[in-house]
Amino acid sequence: MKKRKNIPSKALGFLLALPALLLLALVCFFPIAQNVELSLHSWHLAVGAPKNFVGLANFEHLISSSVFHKVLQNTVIFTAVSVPLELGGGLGLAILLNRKFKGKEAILAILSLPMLVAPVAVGLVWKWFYALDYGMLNPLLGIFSIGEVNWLGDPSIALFSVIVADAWTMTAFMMLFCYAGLQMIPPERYETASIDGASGWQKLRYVTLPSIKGILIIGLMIRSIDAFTRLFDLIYVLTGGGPAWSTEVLPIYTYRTGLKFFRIGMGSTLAIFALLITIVLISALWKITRR
Amino acid sequence: MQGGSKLQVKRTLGKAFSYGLIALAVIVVLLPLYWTFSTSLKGSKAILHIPPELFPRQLTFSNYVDIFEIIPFGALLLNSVVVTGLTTVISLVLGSLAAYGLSRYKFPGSGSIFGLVLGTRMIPPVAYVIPLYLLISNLMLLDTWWGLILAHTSITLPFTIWIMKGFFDELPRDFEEAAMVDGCSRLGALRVALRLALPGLFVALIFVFVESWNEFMFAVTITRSSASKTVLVGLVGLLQYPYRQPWGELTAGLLIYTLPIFFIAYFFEKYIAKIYVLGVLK
Repeated sequence: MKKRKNIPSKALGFLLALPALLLLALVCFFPIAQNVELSLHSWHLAVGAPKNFVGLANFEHLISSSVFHKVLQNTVIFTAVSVPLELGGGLGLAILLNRKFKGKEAILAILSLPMLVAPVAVGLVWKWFYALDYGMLNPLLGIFSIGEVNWLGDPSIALFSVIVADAWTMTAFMMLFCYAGLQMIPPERYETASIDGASGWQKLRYVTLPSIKGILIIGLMIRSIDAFTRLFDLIYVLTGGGPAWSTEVLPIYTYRTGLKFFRIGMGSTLAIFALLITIVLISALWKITRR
Repeated sequence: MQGGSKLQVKRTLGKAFSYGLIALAVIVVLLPLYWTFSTSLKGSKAILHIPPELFPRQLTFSNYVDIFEIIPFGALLLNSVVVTGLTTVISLVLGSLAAYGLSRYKFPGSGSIFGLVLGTRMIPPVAYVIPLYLLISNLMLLDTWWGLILAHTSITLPFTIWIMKGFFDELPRDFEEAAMVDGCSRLGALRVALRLALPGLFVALIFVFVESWNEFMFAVTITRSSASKTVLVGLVGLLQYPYRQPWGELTAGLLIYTLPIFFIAYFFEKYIAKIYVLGVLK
């Protein structure tokens, strides 16, 4: 567009953006940067200990800490199991819903509901659903003669139970994601396949899946970033990280270290880990989407 | 003929199978919600009945009254409404102004500023919650509405800027230029653009509302007393209730709080897809 006399000055654009930028600088940019400074200190706020410069001691401590290894392991397991589960379920539902039938809008609304309910509310709902003695799940499974299971109290099962609750909410996200992708496929591709005599399965294999491959990868990446760095509310309510560290994942461990035990320096070091992982995953995502 | 009817049987079976799967998914989604709802209608004895009553024998609405007594539910509801309301207003006003500035005027650094905002959108809150807590505490804003509102804007403002910039970018400039030829000031042109970008504002409104209404980590960090505590923090606090976990009242409170979300899911389902799905693809 050619410059015209009445196209306003550059200063106005900057002035319009300024209030938002100042606010973001205060509540976001500045705190993120401050993490770096805090991570170089030992600062036990709870006991009123002074802030001591310790260099990279926090990082060294974490690298050799067995609890931190356990936390990373839990986070990787959670991500590696929940994300493919949600992608598979979401893709399956999206394919089933990708046709015309009566009441589809209502079904889409019901199926996407779990994604909109507050994650911490989802945690409360599932805590009560799982509850020993008074919950609904055990008697329900009893119908199929499955014995009592201590869903949230057994260290070998708790992480699995968290994954199921997470899948309950986030499969909806994947479903909407895949559904949007399916709707973008031009119908001509299916017509061509029909003329060539392709069966339903063949269409799925050779038309549908290749057409939405890109979208599937993006969805997978976005959910992986979330699973790795944002799993907080659900665990806070369901297990609090226990029993015996079995559901302690990176976000909740970071939070508890910094704001429950008030080890500010160590907490900030963990936050930097979360930040680095996010940046690595985002730059991978960036590369994929730019292709 | 024979082959044709076989194919038809196969097709009918396939259809029945896929509808069966959809029905199963609907049941799986509704079961925990049903359990929540039925619990909210049970008396405290029925809730602690072993084995649990899958279908309540006696219905009572007392939980919906009692929740206002065992915690200051009304005050907490007010806190949630005020925090979400002000977060929404601040995000939409500052966010759309910034988006307009970034979309219409290319000034030195405008590209990298937008990049910075985009990046902020992806950063998980846990990566800055500790310094943010220290900041809010230094500003003497712990346990206040404004402390939590500030924290919430760190999530909602980047999103608003990003979605509104997308809408302004797609808006032809002709209308604004015509308005300015007609003697409107630059801010008059902004008003014209805002009116045209109303659908964008509406999308941003729904997103910001849902994010702030549902947010828990900042709320549990910053709020302490009923002066600022949100409903979700109060309900989670009920797990520490002395002698019993009051699940009847808790589920009743949860359902009251989730009403606006049910409303949004039902009436704005299409917008939801747009916000959470297409948004990411852009």
